[in-house]
Amino acid sequence: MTGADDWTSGTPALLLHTCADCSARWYVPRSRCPACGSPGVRALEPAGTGTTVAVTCLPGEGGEIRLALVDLDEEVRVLGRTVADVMPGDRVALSFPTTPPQPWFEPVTGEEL
Amino acid sequence: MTGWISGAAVTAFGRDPRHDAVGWQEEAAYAALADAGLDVAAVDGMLVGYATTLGHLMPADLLAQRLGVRPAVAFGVSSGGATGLTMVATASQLVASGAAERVLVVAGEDRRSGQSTQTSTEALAQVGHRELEVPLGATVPAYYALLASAYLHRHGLLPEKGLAPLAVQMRAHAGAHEGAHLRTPITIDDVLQSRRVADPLRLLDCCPVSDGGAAVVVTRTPAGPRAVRLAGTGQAHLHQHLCELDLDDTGARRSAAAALDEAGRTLAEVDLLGVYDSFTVTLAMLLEEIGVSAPGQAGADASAGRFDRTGPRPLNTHGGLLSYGHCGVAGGMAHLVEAVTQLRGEGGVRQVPGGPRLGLVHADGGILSAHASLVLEGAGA
Repeated sequence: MTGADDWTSGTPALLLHTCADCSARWYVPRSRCPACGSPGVRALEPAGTGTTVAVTCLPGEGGEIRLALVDLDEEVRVLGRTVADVMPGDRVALSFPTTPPQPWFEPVTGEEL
Repeated sequence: MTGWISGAAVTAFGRDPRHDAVGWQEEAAYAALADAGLDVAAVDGMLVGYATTLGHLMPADLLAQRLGVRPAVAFGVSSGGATGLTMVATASQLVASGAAERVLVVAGEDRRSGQSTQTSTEALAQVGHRELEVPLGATVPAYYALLASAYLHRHGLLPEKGLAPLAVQMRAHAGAHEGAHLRTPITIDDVLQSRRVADPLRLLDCCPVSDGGAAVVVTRTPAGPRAVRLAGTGQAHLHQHLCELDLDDTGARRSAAAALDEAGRTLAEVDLLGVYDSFTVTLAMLLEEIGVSAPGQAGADASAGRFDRTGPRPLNTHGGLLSYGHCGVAGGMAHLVEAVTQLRGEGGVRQVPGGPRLGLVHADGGILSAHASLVLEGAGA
C-alpha cells in the first residue's frame, strides 16, 4: 500500500500528487515536493485520459500480461495494464475492471479533440 | 589526474557451479592483484559490490577477511549495474584524498547457479516501484521492453533495424574471447526468431544470466608500466523508477560529459568504447544519449560495422553483457577490464588494430537510473 486511498489499498482510483506551492505533479508517493521541497502535498485525481508512450506483452502466471506506460493529460507518466490493440501514440482512458482493482488503459474512441 | 588502474582481471563467465559469490570474488581479486604485481598486504582499501545470491550486510569485510586483507577503509557498494564503475570512481576519490593508496575493487556472483531464474527475476524486478509497478506483473525485461517500445515508436524503427544488429555485433565480438558465456555466431534472423521475452524484446535481445567475477586495483601512482590512467569519472542519478525516467535525459549524457570534462577530452577523441548492454535497447539508448550514435541510428551503426573491432568505434570487444555474459556487478566491470586490456595492447586475437589510446566506459543501473562513466588513457594518449 502507498498509504493513500487508491488502487494499492483496494479502492478503484489512481491518485497523483501535486505541490500547493510550485504546482509540480507526480505519481510516486512522497511527503514533500521533489521539485521545491514544500510539505504542501495534495492528492490529485486525474481525469483518466492520456496518451500511450509504450506497450509490452509478457507471459504471466494467469496468461499474458499487457502493460502500458501512459502520459496522463496531467503530464504525469504512469504504468498500467492494457489490452491487445493499444499502440504507442494511442489515446487511452483509465478504468478499474478487475478485483482487486488495478489501473487499466483502454482505447478512447470518438474523443473530441 | 584521478588515479591509475594498476591491475584488472575478469574470470570466464557462464554456467559454472564451482564457486559461490565470495568464491568468484576471491578468484577475481587474486587475479587482479597478480596482474598488478601486488601482494594482498599492499591493499589498504576494499570496495565490494553487492551479490543478490549473497545478500550480505558487509561484503567488503567478508572478502577482506577471506583474503587476509586488513584495509584502512572498506565498504560494500550498491547502485545496480552501475556499481562496478561507481566503485572505481569512489576508489579514485579515496586514493586522491589520501584515505588509501591501493584500493581493491571486486565483484562476483553465482547468479546463474546459485538461485533459480525465477528467484533472480523476482529479485531484480524490485528496481520497479514496490506498490505501483511490481504488482502489475512488471519485471526488469518488461521495463526495458517498454523502453524498447517507446524507442522504436519514436524513431519509426523495426526491431530488425533498430535493435537486433547490436546483439549480432556483441556475439561476433564474444566469438574471439574464450571466456565468453555465448560464442556461437548469430544472425539478425536468429534474434528475430528467438523466444519472445517481453515484446518487442526477444531472448537474444537480453543478456544471459551468468556466474563469474571481476576485479581491478585502483592506485594513487602506477604500480608498474602497464598501469592505465584513470583520467576522468562522472555520474548521474536522476530517477529510480520507470515512470520518472526522462526518455531524452536519463543521465547518460551528463555522466559521460562529466567524465570527459574531468579528463579534458572530447567524445570525438575516444577510440574505444565499453557501454553497458543488459538489453539491446539499453545499448541503443545509451550510445545515442552519450552522442556516439545519432538518434535512432545505433542499430544502423552496428549494421555498418562502426562498432566492430576493426571499425571506427570499437565497442565491447569482449562481447558485452549480451554475449560475454552478466553475473551482476562483475558483468558491468567486464567492460572496464576489456578496455584496460585493449589500451595496454594485450587483446591478443581480439586486439583493436592500431592500438586504441582513449577509452570511455559507461554503465547504468536500474531502469537507466544510475549512471557512471570512466575515461581511461593508455600509454601515449
